[in-house]
Amino acid sequence: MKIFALQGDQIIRKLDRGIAGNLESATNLVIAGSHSSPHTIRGNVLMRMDGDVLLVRVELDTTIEHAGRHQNTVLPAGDYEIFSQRERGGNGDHAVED
Amino acid sequence: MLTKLGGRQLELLTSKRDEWIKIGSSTERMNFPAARAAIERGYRNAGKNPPKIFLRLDGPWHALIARSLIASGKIGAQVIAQVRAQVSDQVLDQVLTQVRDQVSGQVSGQVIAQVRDQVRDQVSGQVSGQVIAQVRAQVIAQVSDQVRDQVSAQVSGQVRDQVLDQMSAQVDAQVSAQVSAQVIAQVRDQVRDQVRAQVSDQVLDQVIAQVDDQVSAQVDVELQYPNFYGSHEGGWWWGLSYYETMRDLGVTDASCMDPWFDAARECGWCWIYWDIAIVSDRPSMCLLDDRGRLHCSGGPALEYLDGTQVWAWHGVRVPKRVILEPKSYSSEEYRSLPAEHRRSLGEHAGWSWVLDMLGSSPVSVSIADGLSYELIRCSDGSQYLRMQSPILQDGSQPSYLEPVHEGLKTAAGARKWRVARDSDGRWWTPEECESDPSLSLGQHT
Repeated sequence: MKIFALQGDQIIRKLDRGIAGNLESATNLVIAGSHSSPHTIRGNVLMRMDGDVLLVRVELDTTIEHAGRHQNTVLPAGDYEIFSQRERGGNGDHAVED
Repeated sequence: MLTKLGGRQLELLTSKRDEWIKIGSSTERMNFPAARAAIERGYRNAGKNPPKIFLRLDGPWHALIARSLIASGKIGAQVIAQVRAQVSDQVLDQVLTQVRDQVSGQVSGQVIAQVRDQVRDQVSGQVSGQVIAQVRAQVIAQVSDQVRDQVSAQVSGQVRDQVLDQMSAQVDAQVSAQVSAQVIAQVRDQVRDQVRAQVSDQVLDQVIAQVDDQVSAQVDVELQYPNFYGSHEGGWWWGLSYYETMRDLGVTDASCMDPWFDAARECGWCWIYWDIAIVSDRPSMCLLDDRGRLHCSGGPALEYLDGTQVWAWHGVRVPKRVILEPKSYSSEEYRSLPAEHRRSLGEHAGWSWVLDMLGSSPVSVSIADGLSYELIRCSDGSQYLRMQSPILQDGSQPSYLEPVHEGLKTAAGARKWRVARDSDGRWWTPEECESDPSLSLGQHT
């Protein structure tokens, strides 16, 4: 199994097939950690939530920054899906709550 | 048209960035008269009459309570005792006194006469505190009718947007897009990252949590975001650090925002309306680590005089208990914490203490991409993966403990289990991860 990138608990997978359906524009999109240390895609992207997965279209090369902790992740133009790693919890497995 | 920045202009960007970060970190008491005067000038610059009433509160929580008291109209005599039981006397008294004092010249003569007559009648006998409170409450009840409908109509559309449009037009006409982008990147965005992301967003989250937690039936504290973040405004919506830099780079006819630059230097968060402005103080304490993140290992990292506190560990807002009593957590309580809180607790109390508290023993070790992974089994059968982090921004490489499935047998399988998910959303089982633990990461940060 090959994964494009991990940044902290965030899994970033590159999609070979483009994202189908409507997308909304967003600037400096916070993808996780909005209540602690935010992971932020710098610049303008197109995005949509699909369940617990964030679908993102990056049209210009950019980075994902993490406030004050993890190093930047390089994000070339392309389509991606982003979701949290999982952990074992009292009521079964769930996405890491950042 | 300004198309390129030279040496002194580049120095200006640095000094403006540092100045607005310093403004955003200020813990000086607000200068209320100066803030009020600046806000009044801001209204006049936009061609509007300034608010008639200015309320001065000790912090954002008291400001929100004050706003809700006025908006609800629940400061009449009938409920004042109940309200008193549920919100602090301090804030209630502040609101009542300030509103009363400021509207005394504005409410109708009839109301004043009525109140005066009642006071005269009643003080001729025995003046009890209760009577005074009732009279005051009646004044406020009538006054609040005048102002309570106004606190939902914020001025942003007609004051803020107007001056921003005016200033933006001047900048667009006089500064190239390239220089504008440079100022955004080197001033505004850095102020935003430091002041907004590290301080004001944390305060906002704390206040939101307090609103969610409050259970008052009489005065529901409604969350309404400030429309002027005062000392934190350098990197917020108004982007004051950007526009002040543009002004000082020589953009002409840019004085429309001067009052707001001044106001930001004098006060904290504000809720400004057409006839009333609620002005709150700056934090009384703000402690940062060497990377500019809110942090204190022995107390609140940020505090307001209204009692609002933010407890934080290297930028992560955590429960007070994680800071003051980290070793009081049971294994069950530890497991129920969000991941960032577990990590903060582990760093604060020490991972060896956490492992002892969980009654753990090692099961399996592996190395992948130069990082060590250790599967650990606890006395209750639960398992954790201890993972070495990639090198962080500060050069450290801490280890974390993450709960994993009890059916896993190897560290490599546990590493795979945390990330292995098919394109249709199905997560792999522990058995699948053990049979194929291979995992290739393009980037790991």
